[in-house]
Amino acid sequence: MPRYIVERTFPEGLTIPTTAEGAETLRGVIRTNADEQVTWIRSYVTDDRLKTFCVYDGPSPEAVRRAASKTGLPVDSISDVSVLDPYFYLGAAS
Amino acid sequence: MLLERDRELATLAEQLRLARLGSGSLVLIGGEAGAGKTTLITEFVQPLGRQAVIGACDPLSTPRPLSPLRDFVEVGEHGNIDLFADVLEQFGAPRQPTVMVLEDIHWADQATLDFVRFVGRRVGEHRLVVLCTFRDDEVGANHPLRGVLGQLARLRSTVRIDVSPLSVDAVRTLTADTSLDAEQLHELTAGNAFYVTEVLAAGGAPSTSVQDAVLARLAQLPDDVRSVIDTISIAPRSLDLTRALALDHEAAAIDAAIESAVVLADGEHLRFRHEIARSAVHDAILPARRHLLHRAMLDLLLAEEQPDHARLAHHSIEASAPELIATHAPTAAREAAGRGSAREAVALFRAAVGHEDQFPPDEAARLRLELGIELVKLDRPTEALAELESAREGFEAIGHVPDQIDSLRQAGRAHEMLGRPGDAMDCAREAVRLAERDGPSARLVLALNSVAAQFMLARRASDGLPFSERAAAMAGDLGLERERFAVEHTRACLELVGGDTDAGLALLDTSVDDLGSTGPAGRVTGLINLGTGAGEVRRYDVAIDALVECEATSLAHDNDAPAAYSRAWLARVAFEQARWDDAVAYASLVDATTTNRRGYSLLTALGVLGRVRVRRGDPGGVGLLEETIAGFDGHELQYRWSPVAGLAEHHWLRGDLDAMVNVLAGPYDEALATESEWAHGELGYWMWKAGELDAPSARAAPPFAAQMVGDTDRAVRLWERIGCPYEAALARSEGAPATALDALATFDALGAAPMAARVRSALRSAGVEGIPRGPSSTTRAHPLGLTGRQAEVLDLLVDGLSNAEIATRLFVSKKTVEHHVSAIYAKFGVETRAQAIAAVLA
Repeated sequence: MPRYIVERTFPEGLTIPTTAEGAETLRGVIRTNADEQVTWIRSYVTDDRLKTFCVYDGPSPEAVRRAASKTGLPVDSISDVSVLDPYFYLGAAS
Repeated sequence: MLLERDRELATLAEQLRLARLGSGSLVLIGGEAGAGKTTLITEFVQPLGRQAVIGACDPLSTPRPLSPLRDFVEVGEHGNIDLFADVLEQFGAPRQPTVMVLEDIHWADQATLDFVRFVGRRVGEHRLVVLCTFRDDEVGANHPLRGVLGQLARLRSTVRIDVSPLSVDAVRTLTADTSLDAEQLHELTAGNAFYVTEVLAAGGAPSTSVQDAVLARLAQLPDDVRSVIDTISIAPRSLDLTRALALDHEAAAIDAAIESAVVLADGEHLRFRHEIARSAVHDAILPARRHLLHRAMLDLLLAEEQPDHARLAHHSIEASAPELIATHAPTAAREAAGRGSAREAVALFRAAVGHEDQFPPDEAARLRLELGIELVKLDRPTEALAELESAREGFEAIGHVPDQIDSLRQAGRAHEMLGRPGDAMDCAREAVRLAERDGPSARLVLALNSVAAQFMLARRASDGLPFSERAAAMAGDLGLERERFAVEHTRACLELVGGDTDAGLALLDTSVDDLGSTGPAGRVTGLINLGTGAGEVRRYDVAIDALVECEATSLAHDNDAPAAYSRAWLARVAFEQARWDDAVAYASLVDATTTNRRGYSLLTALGVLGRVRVRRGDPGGVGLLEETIAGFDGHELQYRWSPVAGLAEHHWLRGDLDAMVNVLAGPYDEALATESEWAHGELGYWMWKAGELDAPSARAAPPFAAQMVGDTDRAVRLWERIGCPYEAALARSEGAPATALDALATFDALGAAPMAARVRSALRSAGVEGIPRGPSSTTRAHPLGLTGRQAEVLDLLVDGLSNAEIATRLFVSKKTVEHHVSAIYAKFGVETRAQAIAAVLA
């Protein structure tokens, strides 16, 4: 399954409270994603909370977009990525 | 004794309960040979008595079409779809059997597979449970059943049961009263139920395979009993007692065979306990004797009434008797062809043609022609051409001109499938040349029409219309109605895509009705050409109407190919109208439902998906576009020009003008050789963007031409009238900064990130102020991914309103509702109202 990075902009700043409600919001996102066979791996959030870079596994960019649309999340761009790990190369060389 | 099948029996009982409430199902029961599928079914069905009917497919290489259905219904003369609909109605009615068993569908002929699919798609709304057993280990990637299983698996009304091997504990139960070691027996047999029981019946005598075990039991029997058993193995399923006696066997020997428990008496029929046993015995008979036995069976069958030609052909082939094959195979082949069992027809025609010397020259050539026709139906054009060329040569040698012409027309179709329009045209012209010798005739009309059709495919109206006009006049003079309809249809298409669009649309409207008067298949042909033709010339309202009706009509008759192509074009139209979510939904539905991975429908759909990705800036667009272009290599330009434009657009968005020209140069030259204003326009436009063209060709479609001469206002007006928001925005972005600002709003709203970024950057460089920052945060979309209007229609649909009632409620036309319903189905990946409702309520 391809891995995607989704860039998002939250003009009002992203806030997810560390409460039961916040947890339920995240659970809802995971459930909705599952309907499209999209798995949310992890997100990186900028300090000002205006931008996120989200890592997903999914069958196609369209599935990622559908999942985002159903969970009300914006999409600036989607990139198809693969992992480049410095230690993999270093390990192979030694 | 039935072991370890409680869960499966419970599943079957539950399906029966639901069916009685009106919610039927198709149960696919898979398992290896000898796993115990039949035993399971028998256990379930026996208490039901007359509430269940059973049909079985025969282990023949060329089974008779619809043979399992013949076990419980009268097949008669009417066509497949009508028959299937009748059967379904009959079984759905109250006080009728609720369970239909179809055994061994891995041996099913194509007509039977079509029946399984027909019923599988509709059974959810009937009081019926259909149980199909099959050997799942024999259904590989290329097996005809594989595609049907894939299409049915997606439906909620389809249930899957796997009959797995017995566990060691089960084997232990069976060996309880013997001295056999359960673990060893389990290991030897891998838990295969039939093998286990065979070993037990042989008292545990050693064997290395189940066939071995079966034959070991025969070894001790006297010759005459052995002979009876051999004879029974010649019949594909069971042998009538009277036939066994007629085949010169003593009643005593027959009784002894039954005593031995190798065969059993099932009413008036003698059969083996399992097909594994029958084929083991059959294959062990020495060849010469086997041939004689098949001959004897054949003689016996011939003396009876009601011949089963497929069976006669089977025994003739097994008897290796050329003159018998020549007598029986052709009839069986034609019966299979008539029922749409093309695979079986091909095998039988091949068997006949393998003994060509048995036939007079004209019959030999005719068999090859019919074989070629079936191969074309199976999408095997290379093999078809070999046969058709042989046929043509054969007819030429004996001077049968009309048949030569028929062979050429079929060869033309095969060339077209292979993407060789030049060769297709040669065949069409040769057909005309031959037909002209005999003056005006139906054949000449059709031959002229073939040439016109080739020009139509090449989008060359002025070359094609003279042929159409001549053919139309001739058909009129000769009073040939059906031929006239075909000719008028070609003429209408010629006008639509290469000549006068409005005239073409008017003619096609009439043509669709005319073709429809010959039956639903005719109407579908008309609609698909109207829909795709109108789509190509950007008359979207007309196109959508035709495509939606075509999709619905095709599905109602289980005619998958036009349904898939309709959807692919609905995707294309949605893409051009900037309804990208709908486009993706339709393309995905084609991907999910089509079995032909190299066909026109899937390639077209993937090409559309590629263009959407390019415009959104999503990954994976280029790959799809290149695949589509490669897949259509050699085919006419209209299959390729949109993906080519998409690839050029991709390169342009990255600023790679050289790559653009590489992609466009060849196709643009091809476009100039056609009379299609949209090919001239779209490809010319991207050539202009690449800096390769200064001015539009004389023929270029008006909105593109306007852009190329810098008349932005006119271009925008025209694009808005046609209904292409993205193209209108592109035109605006080529104008003054104020206009470009409007373009930006469109690109942001559509999610066209690459163009939005490009316009932003250009505006900044131009020093424009007050550029909006980006798309406003997304308002929460409809939870099911539908547009506002679609959501309204869906609510009423779920409430049970018909399309007409929804139209009244929402104050729109019924056609508009049908469009929305079609898009809703695509978004859910379903094909019927009931499935859509089920998907929503899930």
